Parts: sequence; C-alpha cells; structure tokens
Amino acid sequence: MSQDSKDLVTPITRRKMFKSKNKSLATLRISASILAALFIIAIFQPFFYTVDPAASDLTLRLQSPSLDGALLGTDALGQDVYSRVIAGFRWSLGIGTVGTLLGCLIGITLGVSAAWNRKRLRIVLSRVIDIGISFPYLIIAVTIVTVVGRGFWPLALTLGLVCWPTIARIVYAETLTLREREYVTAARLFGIGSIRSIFTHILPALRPTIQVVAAFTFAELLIAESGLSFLGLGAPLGTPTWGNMLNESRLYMESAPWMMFGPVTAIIVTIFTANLLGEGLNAREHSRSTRVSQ
Amino acid sequence: MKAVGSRLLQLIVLLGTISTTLFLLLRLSGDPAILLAGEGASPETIDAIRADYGFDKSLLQQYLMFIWDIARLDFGRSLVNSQPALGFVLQYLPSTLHLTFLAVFFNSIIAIPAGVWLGAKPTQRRRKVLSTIVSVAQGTPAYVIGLLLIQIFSVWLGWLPSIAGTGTWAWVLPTATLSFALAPNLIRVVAASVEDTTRQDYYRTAKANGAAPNVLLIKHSLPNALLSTTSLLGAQFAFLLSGALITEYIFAWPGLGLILVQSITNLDFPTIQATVFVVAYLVFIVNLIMDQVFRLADPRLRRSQL
Amino acid sequence: MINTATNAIEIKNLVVSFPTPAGYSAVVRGINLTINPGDRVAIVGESGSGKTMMGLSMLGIQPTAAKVEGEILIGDVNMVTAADAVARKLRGNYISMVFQEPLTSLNPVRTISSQLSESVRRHNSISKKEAEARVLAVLTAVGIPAPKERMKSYPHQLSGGLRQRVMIALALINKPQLVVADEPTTALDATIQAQILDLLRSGMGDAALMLITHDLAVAADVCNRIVVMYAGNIVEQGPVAEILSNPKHPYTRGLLSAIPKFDQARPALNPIPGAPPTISEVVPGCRFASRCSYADAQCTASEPEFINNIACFHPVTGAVK
Repeated sequence: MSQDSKDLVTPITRRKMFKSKNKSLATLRISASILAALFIIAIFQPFFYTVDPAASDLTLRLQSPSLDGALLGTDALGQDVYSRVIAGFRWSLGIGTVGTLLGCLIGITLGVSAAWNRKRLRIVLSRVIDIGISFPYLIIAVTIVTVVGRGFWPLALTLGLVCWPTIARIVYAETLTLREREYVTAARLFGIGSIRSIFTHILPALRPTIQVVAAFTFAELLIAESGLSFLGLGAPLGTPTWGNMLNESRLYMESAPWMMFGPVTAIIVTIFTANLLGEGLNAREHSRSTRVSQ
Repeated sequence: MKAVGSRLLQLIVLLGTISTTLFLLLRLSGDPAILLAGEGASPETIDAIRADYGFDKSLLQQYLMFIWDIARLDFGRSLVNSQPALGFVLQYLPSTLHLTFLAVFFNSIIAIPAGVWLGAKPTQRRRKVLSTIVSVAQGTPAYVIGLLLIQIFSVWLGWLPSIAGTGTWAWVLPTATLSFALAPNLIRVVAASVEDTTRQDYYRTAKANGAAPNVLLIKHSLPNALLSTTSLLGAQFAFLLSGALITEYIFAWPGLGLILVQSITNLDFPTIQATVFVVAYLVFIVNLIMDQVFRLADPRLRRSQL
Repeated sequence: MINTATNAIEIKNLVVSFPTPAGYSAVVRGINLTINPGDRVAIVGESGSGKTMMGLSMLGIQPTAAKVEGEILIGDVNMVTAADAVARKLRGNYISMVFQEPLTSLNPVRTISSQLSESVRRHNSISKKEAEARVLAVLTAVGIPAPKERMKSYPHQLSGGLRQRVMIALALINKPQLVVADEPTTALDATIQAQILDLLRSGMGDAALMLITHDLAVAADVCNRIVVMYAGNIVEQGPVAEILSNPKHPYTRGLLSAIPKFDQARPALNPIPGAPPTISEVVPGCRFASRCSYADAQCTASEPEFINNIACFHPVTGAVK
C-alpha cells in the first residue's frame, strides 16, 4: 500500500522557499551600499557643498528652499542648510564609528572575560554588566560631557565609554554557549591556553553576532549624538551638526519650517539604513544557522 | 530579602562608580573652583569656593570628604539659586512621575493589544505590519517625533499647546511623543512573547485537550507572555524617569530631565549630581518593585525566594 | 454524534508532508491502521520514522506547516477535513494525548487543578465544584499521593514521575476512547519508568492505547499489538508474541537483535548499520534496502507493498538468534 515516492514530492517550489532569503540578502546589499555612499559623502564632503557651510550672509537669512538659490533654504544666520546637512555627515558618522568601535572593544572584552572565567571574575563582571544595563546611559554621558567639555573627541569617546553594556551582555550570552561547544572544550583538554582559544575559536565565531550588534549600536549612537547636540550638550554651538541645526530650527517653526526638513531627513535616512543593515546581517546569520541545523 | 540586598548592593556600586568618576573628571580637568564659579567670576569668588569646597586639600582628603558628603545626601547648594541641591531637584520629581505614568499607561493600552494581535496569529501580512512599525520607529528619534507633532498639532492646526503648563491639554503632546518612542519596542516584545508561547509544549497540550483559539490565547498564551513583557515595562519605566530628557526639554516640561539639561547648561554641578543620584535611586526602586511583581506573578519564583 | 460501534479510530492512506527547499517531502507516507476499542497498540520505530507526526495528526494538532492528506476517521468524523470546531469537541474528550516532556507540557503558571478542571468543564457542562471532584477522583485513580494537596500545586513543584501522572490524568479525565501516548517514559528515571508503564498497562480503563515508542521492550510490556514503522511506512505489524518470536521483516529482526541480551555471557550489541533516509531523499525502491543484508535488485528497483501485515519482498522466517 505504500505510495510511489515520486508522488509524494509535489512540484518544486524552490523559488518560493528562497524568496525570503533573497530578500534579506538584497536588504543587506542595498543598506550596505547606501551606508557606503553616506560615508563617501562624509569623507569627501567638500565636493558635495554648493557653498561653504560656514559662510553666512545675513541679507539672505531664512530663505525658503529654491532650485536656483539655496537647495534646502537658509538658516537664521543666512547659512546654506544643504551644505550644513552635508557637513553634518562627517560629524555624525565619525562619532558613530569611533563610539561603536570603542563600545565594542569594551563590551567584547568584558563579555568574553565574564563568560570565559568560571570563578569570581565571572560573578563580578556579570554584576557589572547588569548594573550597566539597568541604568540609562545617556544620563551618564551628558554628565561626563559636561565635565570634559564639548567637541568631536570628547563626545565620541564618552559615547563609546557608556554604550558597552548591551554589547557586553549579548557577547556574554553568546560566549557562554560557544565555550561549551565540543571543539572549544577539546582545545581546552589539549591544553591550549585561554588567550589562544579565545582568539582562534571564540572571537571568529562571535564575528557575525558582533557585526549585528555593531550596526544597531551605530544607529543608537547616531540617535544619542544628535539628541545631545539637540539639547545643546554635544557639539559646540554653531558647529554644523544635525542636532544643532534642529535645535536652531525650533525657534523658527512658524516662520521657517523648512529648516527642519534637511537635518530630519538626513538623521532618519542614516539611522534607518544602519538599522536595516543590522536586520540584514541578522537575517543572513539566521538563515545560515538554520541551514546548518537542517 | 536577598533580592533587596543584591539590588541595594547594585545601587551602592553604581552610585560609587558615578561619584568617583565625576570626582576624578572634575579634579583632573583643570581647576574645579574655576569651573564651579563659572565664567567671568572674580578671583575672590574663586578663592572662596576653593576654601569652601576644600579644593586646597590633598586629593585623597578631598575624595573622602566628597564621599562622606554624598553618603549623608549632602550634595551642596545649587549654584543657581543657592537652595540645597537635593531639595531643589526633588521639587521636579512629581512632574516627571506624572509624565512617566501617563506615558506608561498610554503606551501599554496601545502597544499590548497591538502586540497580542500581531503575535497571536503571525501571518505574513501581520509580520509585515510589525516589521514596518519597528523599522520606521527605530529610525525616528524621539525629538524628531516631538518636533513633528508640534509642527502639525500646534503650529499648523493649532489644536494642542506645545508648552507645559499652558492649559489642560498640555500633557497630550509630550505623552504622545514618549508613547511613539516606546510603543514599537513594546509591540515587538509582546508579539514575540505571544508567538513564542504558541510554540510551547503546554500550548500544544491545551490544544490536544480541545481548547478553542480564544481560550488558548487568554488562558495559556497571555499569562506567560505578559510575564516576559514585565521586565521590558520595568526598563521603560526606568528609562522614562531619566531618559525623558529630550521630551521634557522640547515641551519645557518641568521635570528631572529639564532640570538636568538646565543645570548642565549652567554648569551647576551640585544640582547635576543630585539629579543623577535621584534618578539612580528611582531606577533602584523600579527594579525592586519589578522583582516583587515577578515573584508574585511567576509561581516558579515564589517558592524559591520566600 | 459519534458512532463508536466498530473501532476507535481508522486511518486510511495517511500522508503527512512538510515543505522543504525541494518541494513537499513526506514524513508519513501512506499509512493504514485501525485501532479497535480497548486495543493496546505500540507504534515502534526509530526517531524520524514519522510516528510522532502520525500521533499529532490523529488529533489534528500537527505543526501548521505540515500538510495532511488521507483519512483519519473517528466514527463518521474525518479529522483531516473536519472543521476546527468539530475536531475540538473530540480532542481531550474522545481522543487525548500524553506527551514526552511532562514539565514543559504543563502550563508553568497555572495550578494542576485549574488545568485539569479547564478540560473537564470544556467538554461537560458541570459546575466548578463537580469538576474539582472529578479532578480529585482522576488524580487518585492515577496514583498521586495526597491528591487534595497536589491539586493546588504548580507543575514545577512536582517530581517528574508525578508530573507524568498528572499528564495521564489530564488525558483520562474525560474518559476518552483512545489515548495516544508519545514516548511517555523517555524523559523519566528508570525506576519511575516502570511505575508509569504499570499505570499505562492497568490504569487506562476502557480507553484504547496507542503507545508511541522506540523501545521494543516497552512495547512488548504494555501492548498486545506491535506496529513497526520505518521511514514513514508501516513495515510490519502483528500480535506481540508473533512479532517477538517470529519477526519477518529484516528491519524488525534488526531491532530485536539490537536489544542487548543480558542472559548471555557476553552481552553483544548488534546495531543496524547505516541511518534511515532523510525525508527529502528520494529512494526508488524499499527505503530500508540500503541497510538490509537481504536486499537484491528487486528491492532497490521498486517499493514493496504492505500485504499480509508485512512490506517486504523477502520475508524471513524463524526466531532471531
């Protein structure tokens, strides 16, 4: 009574099955390209200016956007909004990059050490991570910035110094599972040292996770940085950053609402792209791990 | 009791770290007396401050004094109005609590049903709705939402006030801003928790005993799903007590966030410190309450901790 | 509503398949099986043989991705095509299931009594008090000591053995005609296993039992009929004595000889070489052929039909050495 096996395999629907996977790969490619383009703008920004972003002409203040004049209008000092938005890329992406790198460095170090150690260090470090997670880090950041002063490096380093708890917790959890894998245990039994094991087995295996976390952290730091600038606590006043520009635009919401448009768009596009990159990396990693388990 | 003890230890470690960091940063970044006196202060004022705060003593002595003062909850006087800093900060607490409760309330009544709807039956279309909400909201900082709401409802339509204390409806826009900022995360977590329960063995058992979909959802999914959502609600509460910085600033809402921004702008260190301590203490209280809620709600924790 | 005159359940040409990158692949490949009232049938097979999926689809609670074809007849209701509202009335009432993992299979945040009386009151219009009396009665019947106190307990407060007794109580509480037990002792300690097997052997009342297990010894202990499944097919079935003393299918013989025999001086394990085909693998002939020492050209060319309780071109006779 058994059926012929061929009857049981219905016509191939491979395309349908992998549509979602291709879509996530496309997400990854598109978001990575857009982000790369934004970085190119940030690095080669003078090529994208229409005028010097610092040049002010009080006779041309609060101009509305026009194609032959200022693309996105001018602000209260008669500065070109478009060029200042472009200048803001270097500031935001720069701080996001430095902060993310520092945060990852601290977070990975703490997370891996906490998970690798089996004794008191683990208890202490995991408590430290718990405490860090429970407290809103923006508060600490503003307080530190107050003392060390405003500017690119103070802000970038401060954000890096306070954003590690989430990274550390994710790395910690991941390392805990990794260290119980057979090949890691085997390495330990063969007497391979901790440091070497971490560098040859743990860190490479952590890479996909870290990529995802880094992308999301980058987006989060962009929000934090522009938020601080918006409060007047980040960039020195007058620096062309999106947060500063938005803060200035608040005073002219009725007379010059277009002042908001440029910085808001730049912020949303950049954050959205970084989050999309994180999601794309996450989806790729996810599809990889399910493929292995099948 | 053990839980309270460990939370208390966390609070002490946190406060110790923050105050030590602040102390070192303040002392290492130039003459604190000049910093405290503010720009343009006369040399006499600076000398007075130096003697007053004991900046002429050794670093260790200063540190011990500093910690001793803090342990007695003496943060000094506000440099702006000479009130004791702690009392000054506490005046702003009710206003922040008010906004926090409003935001948590509206956020919950919108996001929890939405999350349950999305998670209970994770069809392709509902997934799409979910991912759209999340990616749009993740990409939009709270202050952008706040500014847009003001632009639309205050400037263009003129329906709602944009400044705190200017009418009965002044709470609407700040609450909406915070809810917009918090809801997507809550929706996502509720949806994920509800969906997760539908994959659990006990869900299958209930199904094997003939439970109807609504019974499955209400009696089997929700109790477990809401349990895992509680911790996020706690975190959001803690975030709001402090992280409403930007929202309070935009709407001139007289709370802890606004006072923090103002005291930073004024370089009013006693007030900054007092604010950070009050916030840390509030976070501690919220975490303590959340621990208790968990113990009451989850029978698995009840026995082991009593 | 249900005509229960002839048999407890009748399965006709059941196919359960799952979507894979290469299209739908079947884990249950056309099964026919009838269970009579009061019958004790063991479904024996390796993991992945499709036995659990068959059990789940008998209640209509297979994973949502699964596609079920064929007929599962309970009286005049076909569980494959029945509306959910109809199938729901049978689940937990006429047919019920005991799962492998008693800890995760009970709701962690609700008491034992609330979970059991929920099921009672769903299928019977009786008061809360009457329902609790029935919960107490069934907990006593499955041998739970101090059942009154246990009713107020949460699952995590009970031992593994007690939890499984609660699961069995939950399956029996509405006096079903058929209980499907999926590896009910696998997650338990050896001593507890024996107690639960006792309960399954003598505590089921009038209910028929379909015991899903990978363990022939357990099957022989509890049941009177054994059905051997391999890679989605039934390859052999018969009364317990017949299967144990005179297995005809090479796979059944392999299973029997793989059981360690401690009456011998040197207990030797005789595992069956190789592994069953994966579900997406297309095998033209007998799916056991690649592991079978009796296989010839005919076995790899076409698939043997299930005739006279066996699906094999070369049935073997005689006892297993």
